[in-house]
Amino acid sequence: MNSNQWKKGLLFISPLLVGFAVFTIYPVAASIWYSFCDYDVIRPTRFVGLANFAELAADERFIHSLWNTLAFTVLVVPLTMLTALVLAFLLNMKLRGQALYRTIFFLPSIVPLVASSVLWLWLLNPDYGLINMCLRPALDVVNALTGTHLTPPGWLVDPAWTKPALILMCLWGVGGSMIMYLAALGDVPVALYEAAEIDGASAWRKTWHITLPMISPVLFFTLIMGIIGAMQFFDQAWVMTPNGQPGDATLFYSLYLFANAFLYLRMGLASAQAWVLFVVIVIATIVVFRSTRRFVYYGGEGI
Amino acid sequence: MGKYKPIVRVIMAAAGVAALAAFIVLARPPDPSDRGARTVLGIWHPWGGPTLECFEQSVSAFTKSHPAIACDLLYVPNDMANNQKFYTAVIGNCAPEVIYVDGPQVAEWAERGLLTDLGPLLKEFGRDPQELAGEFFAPCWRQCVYKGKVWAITYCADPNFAFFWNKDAFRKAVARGEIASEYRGKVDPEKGPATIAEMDIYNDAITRKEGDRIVRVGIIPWGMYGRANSLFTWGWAFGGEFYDAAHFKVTANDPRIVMALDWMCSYARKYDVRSMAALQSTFGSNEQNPFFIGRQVMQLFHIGGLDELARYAPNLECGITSIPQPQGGEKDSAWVGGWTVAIPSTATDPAKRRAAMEYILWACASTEGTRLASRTLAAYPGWKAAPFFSEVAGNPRAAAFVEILRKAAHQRPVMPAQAFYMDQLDRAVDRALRGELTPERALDEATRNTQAMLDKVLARSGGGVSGVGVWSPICKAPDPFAGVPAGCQPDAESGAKGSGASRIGLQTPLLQTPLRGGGP
Repeated sequence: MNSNQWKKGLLFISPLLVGFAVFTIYPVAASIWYSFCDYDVIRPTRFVGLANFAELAADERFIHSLWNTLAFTVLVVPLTMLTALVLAFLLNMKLRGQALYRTIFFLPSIVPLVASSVLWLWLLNPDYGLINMCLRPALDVVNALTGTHLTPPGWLVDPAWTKPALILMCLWGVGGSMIMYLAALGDVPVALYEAAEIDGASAWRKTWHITLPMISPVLFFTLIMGIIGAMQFFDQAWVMTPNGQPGDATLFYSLYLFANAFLYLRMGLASAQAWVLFVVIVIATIVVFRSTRRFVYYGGEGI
Repeated sequence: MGKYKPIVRVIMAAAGVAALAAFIVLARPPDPSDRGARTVLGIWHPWGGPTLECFEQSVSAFTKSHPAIACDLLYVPNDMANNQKFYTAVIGNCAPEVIYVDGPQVAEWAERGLLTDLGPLLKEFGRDPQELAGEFFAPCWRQCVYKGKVWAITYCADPNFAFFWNKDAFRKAVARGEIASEYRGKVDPEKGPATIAEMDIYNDAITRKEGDRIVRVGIIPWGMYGRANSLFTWGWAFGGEFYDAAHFKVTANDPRIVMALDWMCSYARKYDVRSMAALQSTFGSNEQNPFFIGRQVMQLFHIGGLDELARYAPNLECGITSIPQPQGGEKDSAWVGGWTVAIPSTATDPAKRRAAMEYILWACASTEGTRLASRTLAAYPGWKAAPFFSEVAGNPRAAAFVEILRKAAHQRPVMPAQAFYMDQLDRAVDRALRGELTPERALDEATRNTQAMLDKVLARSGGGVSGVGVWSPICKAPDPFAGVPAGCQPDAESGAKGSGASRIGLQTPLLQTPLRGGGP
């Protein structure tokens, strides 16, 4: 390309470049500076060195929010992946009405998060929610047979059950991953299955040795994106348990960050918090990359 | 095709220029010439939906009686969590001349340099702040004064709270013999409980459980518009004080407040906090309010409760009185919330400041202004001489609230870490209710944390109030990234900018606030 073409090219993408510089690079760079400052958005910044980070290290709510988020991530990512994968396998079967089933299972993931959160508030109601209304008769039978006194979970009013409640809700919205797995399953060459069948492979061995390796790049992608998404989990928690209560059980990292930034006007501290989260996500991603890379098979690598 | 290229280029260029010109013409603010030489005030307010029309009527009346002033209204939902638009507008030096501020925010905004000291302006208008103070209910005025200066004037006063009890539910329970023998004769459906001890008896008599579920409850002490507001309410009723304003000292662990929280926890111990939380979470607001459907028979309401009651449970017969208090507590305990009106610190044009003050005094402390506000917005004025108070004298329910307002002695602490304090109280109540900490330790912790936060905020401005780091070529914040265009320049004509600006009668914003934007 000659320089004239370069100039024209840059001119044409200049709206993007300017927008990217002003609305992405500048805020990101500024937040690094703010994380070392006492800054409330309104008054000028004041450099405080590492004070924000030191404060975070000593803040038990911060540690608690980090722990909540990590625990949630460890639970929700594998469970959503597994659920999406099982659904994808089932919906990949040649059945009548296959497209209809696929649509039905995909639908929840296009419901706006706030709307679905409000809906789940009702479903998870301990006394009159649909979930406990179904569980109660079942538990009554169990209690009658075993002499126990099991009661349905308190879900969002019981600190021990709030995370499972939110995970349950996340499982309902796995349609996005499911569609990606379905697409990947459709891409697995039939010839490989035929060859395996000729060799007498069972369905399980075909799944383990052909299907999973062939869709492993998509699994890997959803794993990484799932970890990043779970670490930044915010919307549903904000709608359903805005203060992280009961018992700070749903005080997720992003909720606490939001409170510091916009409720308590501690933008400097919140910036520091955001950068700590960034480092945690980077470390988690590197660990996952290193530990799972050898299980991921890319067609281009050759068999 | 190639030979047409130049023509296509010319056409495209012409179309581009035409589109740009059209954009510039359409995006221009309306020609101020139709306003003649009028001073244009930008007013940011928190009323959307049907309430906006009422507010617009009131502002129209103002501009009619003040022909030299025109008003640009903009809906900005500035509650404790959503005020970023105002902050950035102040920093960008494009804030309006008049801003409605939720009462508890005044101190915080003043401390951070967002508001103008109204004292000198009041004097210009011949109003002595000391005298004006006497014209307002004391707690209303107090929440507008911080560090000895007046930063806002009360627009409406929410008396928090009135005690409602469901007479029908008690009558039916008595008639059906549902009241246990130990409580018979102690529960009078026609006469509500006057003390906490009596309320406990009413509660125990009416609460019913079916298996592990509570199907009807007397009262949920922490369910009064959130845990923090509940603690404020009972804390004051028990005779406690949350803040020592003279010494900037947080006193959430006042022994009387500890007693109040301990009493609240007695309900959690008695009925199992999970069962009560389950009952509470079953319901939302309005038509699902447990009080309206007889699941909870005693409740505290702010004035919005009257409208809701009329709309959702018009046939519910209930009694209204002031909050019960314990022995040695505060009789007729109540506090006020509500909106105030202020002038942002960036409004420096003397003519506009005077116009803004004119509007504020008209809206908050004039017969016409308060009459319109109370009639259209159903807001209780904070100005004692408002005609509203004689107008509602014939309505016993509204009059009960007026009485509560007259007796109210408290407002939320006038301090610049209000949101943090509320969160800390909320958390302290939660932890104490679940038995994680004793009430005393939970409140000690809230006190310690809030004091630390408050000290940090105060240390920043070193005694006085701060100046704002306005982004302008003259006054630049010491910020290494300040070279980037702020994108928001001072507006000579109008403070209200942007496509959401609602000029009177022309446009209704999509977002709506509840009838009483400021909450309790």
